[in-house]
Amino acid sequence: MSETGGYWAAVAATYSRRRLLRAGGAGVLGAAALAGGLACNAKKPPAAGVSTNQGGSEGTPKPGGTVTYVSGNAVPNFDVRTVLSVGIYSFATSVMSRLVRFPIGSELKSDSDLTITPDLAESWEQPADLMSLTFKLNKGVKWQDLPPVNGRELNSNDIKYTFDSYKSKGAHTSYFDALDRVETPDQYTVKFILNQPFGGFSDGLAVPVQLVFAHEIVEKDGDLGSTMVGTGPFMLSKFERNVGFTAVKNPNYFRKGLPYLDGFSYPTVDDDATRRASIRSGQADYITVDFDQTDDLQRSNPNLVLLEAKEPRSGRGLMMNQTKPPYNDVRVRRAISMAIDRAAVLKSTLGGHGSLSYATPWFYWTDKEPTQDQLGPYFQYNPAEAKKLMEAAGYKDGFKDTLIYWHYEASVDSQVALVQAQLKQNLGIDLQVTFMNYPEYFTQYTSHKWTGMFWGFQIGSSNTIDDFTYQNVLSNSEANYMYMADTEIDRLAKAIRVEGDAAKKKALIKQMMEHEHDQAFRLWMPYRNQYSVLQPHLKGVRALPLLRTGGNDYGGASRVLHWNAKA
Amino acid sequence: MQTYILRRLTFSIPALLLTSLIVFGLLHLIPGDVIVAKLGDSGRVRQADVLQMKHEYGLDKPLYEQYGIWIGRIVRGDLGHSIYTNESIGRSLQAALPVTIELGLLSLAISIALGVTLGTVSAVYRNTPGDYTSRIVAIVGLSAPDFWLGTLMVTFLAIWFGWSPPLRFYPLFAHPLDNLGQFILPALVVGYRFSCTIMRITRSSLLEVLREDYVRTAAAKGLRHWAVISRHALKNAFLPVVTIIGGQLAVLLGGLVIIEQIFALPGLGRLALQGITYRDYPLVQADVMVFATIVIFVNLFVDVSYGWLDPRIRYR
Repeated sequence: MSETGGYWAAVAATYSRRRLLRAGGAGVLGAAALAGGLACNAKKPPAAGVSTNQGGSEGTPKPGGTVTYVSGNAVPNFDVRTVLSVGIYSFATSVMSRLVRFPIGSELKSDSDLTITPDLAESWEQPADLMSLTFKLNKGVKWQDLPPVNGRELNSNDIKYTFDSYKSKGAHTSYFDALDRVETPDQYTVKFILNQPFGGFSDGLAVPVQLVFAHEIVEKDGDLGSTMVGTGPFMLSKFERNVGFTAVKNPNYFRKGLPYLDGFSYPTVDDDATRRASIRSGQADYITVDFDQTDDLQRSNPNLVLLEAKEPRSGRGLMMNQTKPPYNDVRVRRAISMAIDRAAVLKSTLGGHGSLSYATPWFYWTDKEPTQDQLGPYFQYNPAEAKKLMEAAGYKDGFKDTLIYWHYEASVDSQVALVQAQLKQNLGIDLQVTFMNYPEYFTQYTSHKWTGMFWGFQIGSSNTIDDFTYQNVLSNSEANYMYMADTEIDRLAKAIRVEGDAAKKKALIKQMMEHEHDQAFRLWMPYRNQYSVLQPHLKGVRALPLLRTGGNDYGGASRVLHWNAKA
Repeated sequence: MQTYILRRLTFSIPALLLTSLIVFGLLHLIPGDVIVAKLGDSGRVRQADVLQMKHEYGLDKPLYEQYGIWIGRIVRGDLGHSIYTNESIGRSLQAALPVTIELGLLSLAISIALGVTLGTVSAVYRNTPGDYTSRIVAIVGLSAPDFWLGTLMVTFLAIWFGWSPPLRFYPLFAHPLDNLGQFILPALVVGYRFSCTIMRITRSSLLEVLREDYVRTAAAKGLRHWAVISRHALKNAFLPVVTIIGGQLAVLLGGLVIIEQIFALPGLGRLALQGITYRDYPLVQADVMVFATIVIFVNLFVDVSYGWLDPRIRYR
């Protein structure tokens, strides 16, 4: 073995310092030229914009084939009574059915069509006093031919069993505070007797989480945690924790000719990059992505179809503890609202791929999506006026406070930071921002333990008009996590609930929205658009607003109309 | 030797007890509530529902009582049920543990093969281009986090070759080739990372041994170069390497959480992460106890292996 000195001595003998410097210089120049060449030849990103190809308008649906929908949502268990997680409903909505539902696919008259549509029920009626709701069930609907239900016919007792259970305990109880009891006059008739007039009760039954289940499963297993049998278009064939689900076509599905697909798989992949890799490689047929990932995908795989859905209401916003100073002063709330440049937040944190938002989807209270200038003076960015209001309220130099948030997605971090900076700059409000993880954040929010400011959210799975205009805003509602306590809001909330006429209801909701914007109770922030990415052979997919109708999350019921053009 | 092993096993009991106290205490110190998380996605959580569920799961009992109940169950072999999934933890672990062990062992095998080889080459051909290259490769591996490497690999393999990790899981004995195909990439990523430490320790340890008189004597006797290295030098240089491997295994197992996520493997790490996210106390507690038990046994194995490597070492 040679010694160190011997080797280097040989090297030094071969190369003089001058030769080495020359070689080094040439190397640097060469690397610079290479980098320049690579930069020039790099593919330029395609023009901004996303395909609006809805996929569903191409060709006649053909039966057969399977599809892979990849999701990042873990499944806790199958017990739809105790869990309302998107992880279970994104699958369960394909296997189980509801009494009524929202339109899907070709049933839709527009993207915001939320007409209550028959599912297990073929018809229903509600009397003028709004104190009951009677449903007539479709005859001949069979449970899937799997144990322990074994393909028997669905009857009204199944409906009663389900909703008695939902009302009495578990995660659904608060949706049925207006329900007194369920009656079954005959095998195909179900009557919901209410304890108060409620025109929106059927809306609540149509949301994805109100799935009908069989009593045999509970009697056999003690719960619904490990067996999923429904009346839906697909049957669960395999489940592996942290791997995913597989489903096969239900040959006895009550809507004849459907589903088109022979089955689908639903793997759970936690990592964003891996999900994107799976659609690039062709393993996945459908994923959802954030706005900042669309350009990359289009660049590497221009054949992929990108669907964009605009969210018509806000997921999250700045909440203020209105029960305490300084937020119990409407001047302070209005000032804060006017000190936030929502257009700048939308542009810089969402790249323009989002919407200005408000509490209730716009199609419930107006005919056209409103622009910012139509939302009242306190919705406009006006820091000078905001400063005057703060002075009048006695906070000329601002104040210090706290803001708690949870990192729901990447854009939330940016939004919080931008709002913090804007409030500091425009009003001298110095916010100490605290990031919490989900259980801690959620506990604080739902236990009314938060003070100061909170980056709150509205609701998870249901998105019914009752949630928007009653449950979340009524001063003594359990779901009023945002410290709402306004007599006019309470009056309007109760009036909306009992109003049966659609036009009058719309006018009342508009009044509520105008009052809320005037009083700046809650400051809703721009919300991201949702993007679905599909392989071109996956057809029948519509990108729809709200979680309950389209998408891979709570919109699993729409898979009944998906089809595989390669089949 | 048997006495030594028995003694070590006896001492592991208080170690495990202390681990159980620490994990139980720490988990309950973290703010957040599994019941609230469970009911959470509705956006509506009634306090009455929360209290009822807490009572059902025994979470309204004093902490010392909860700990006692849990430890009593563990001793009887009952790991309990996950609060978030309601699944038997024993069954969850039974499914997840083989995945993590397979990934861990494969990664370890790769890290030893790569690390020892590169370290030996590096030491034997010290201060040559080969040595410098090996050392640069090791520095890069030590600097680059394995999750970053894993993400890069997944992304660029998909873009360049249209390949991505399988979306379904192939059990080893049912689909051995598919299973190997599924595990090889994550094992390479983790193995490469850990091989770098092994490489550097092997190199420095071997360099020291190569200077010893008996190595010089063996060479002087006329033995072939690589026979001197493999029969005389490596075995003695391996002691510190074995120590490092034992220590690295614990880190390796813990570090598989992110790799399992990236490569969609349903292992223990992913299960543990889910448990931590949702404050699923029984699941996380059970996971940590399993990890702790594995670490204890691995360390024991490492210590026992010293005696095989160096006959001068005797245990009493």
